[in-house]
Amino acid sequence: MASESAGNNSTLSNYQLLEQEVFELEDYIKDIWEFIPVSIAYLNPAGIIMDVDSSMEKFLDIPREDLIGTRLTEYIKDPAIFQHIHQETLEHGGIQNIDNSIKTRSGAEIKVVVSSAVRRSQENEVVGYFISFSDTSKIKQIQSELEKKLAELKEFHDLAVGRELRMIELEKEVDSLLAELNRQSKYNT
Amino acid sequence: MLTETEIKRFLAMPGMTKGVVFQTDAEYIRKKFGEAGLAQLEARVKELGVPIDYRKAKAMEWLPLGLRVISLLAIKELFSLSNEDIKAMGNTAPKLSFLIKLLLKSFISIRATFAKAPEMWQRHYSIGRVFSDYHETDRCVAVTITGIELPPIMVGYLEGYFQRIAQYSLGPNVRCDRDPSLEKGEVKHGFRVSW
Repeated sequence: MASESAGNNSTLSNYQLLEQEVFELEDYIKDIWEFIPVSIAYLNPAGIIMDVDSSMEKFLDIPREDLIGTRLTEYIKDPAIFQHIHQETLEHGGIQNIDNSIKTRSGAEIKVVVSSAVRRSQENEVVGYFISFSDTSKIKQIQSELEKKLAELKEFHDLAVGRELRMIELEKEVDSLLAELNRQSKYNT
Repeated sequence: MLTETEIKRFLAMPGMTKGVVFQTDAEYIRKKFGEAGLAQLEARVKELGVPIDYRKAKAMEWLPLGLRVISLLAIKELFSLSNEDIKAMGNTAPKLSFLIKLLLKSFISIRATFAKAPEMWQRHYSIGRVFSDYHETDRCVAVTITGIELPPIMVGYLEGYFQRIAQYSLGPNVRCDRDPSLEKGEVKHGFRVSW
């Protein structure tokens, strides 16, 4: 169904070349939109979802066709956070890498990094904005586990060093007692 | 049931449409009836001897308008859809459309959205023209089509489609119905979007 003349570039007219490039661009945009491992939505200035990528569908566990035309606040348990992001974005053109926690409708709390950027018309009017949620819950979990292990290691280190210092003190005490008895030092401390 | 005569009649229809409509048909069927549903549709279209390739259609390629009508009729017949289902299908289509992504910048308000209606139509169809008349106090937009007579299944589909385009700016509480009172003179089809 696509351009049948696409096989022979040397005979393509400018229009056919342009058409072929448009088709290739379409494939490229679709592939990228499916691949991006970050949850992205495009919202209009009223906060209505106009488009989402595949990651956002998985993130919110809601199909694309149910998300589009609704408001993101419907899927987030704390809409005040989102309202703040919405205002900041429209007023300042976007936000960058803000740590946040999103509570989804299913009750799951997901730690995310939020970024957003407005789109403008040729007349420089804000016509909508992209918003992304990068799920950092796994990274945060690993970070928390590492911090716990580090605390345990520090405790062990303190115990081991403390024990060693106590041993040195006892050796000194033994040598001191031996000296009082005019006997030879045992540890030469 | 689609007959050979009807298919010939639709294939002889003047005008072209963008391949995106076959992509949205396929995506809708896949979501509603699964991959098996799409395979059933492909088999039916093949049986009818109609060259629609749902998997290879490109959003921006021009294809005969008659194929668009045949696709809708084949879907309605194969999956026993009602007129309301066809309207719902039209309502879902913009959400699944690649072409609509290019128009999202226009959907900032209901007035701005329908001001772009003529361009939106031209981007989808090579024939016919669309006009919109925005009435702020009556909270409605009259949408009219001239230069083409569409089969009833497409009119029902467009009711849902225009409704969704309005919902992008206004949220869910929007209606769109055919309005015969607008169908005078050159106007072949009239719709009223109200909220």
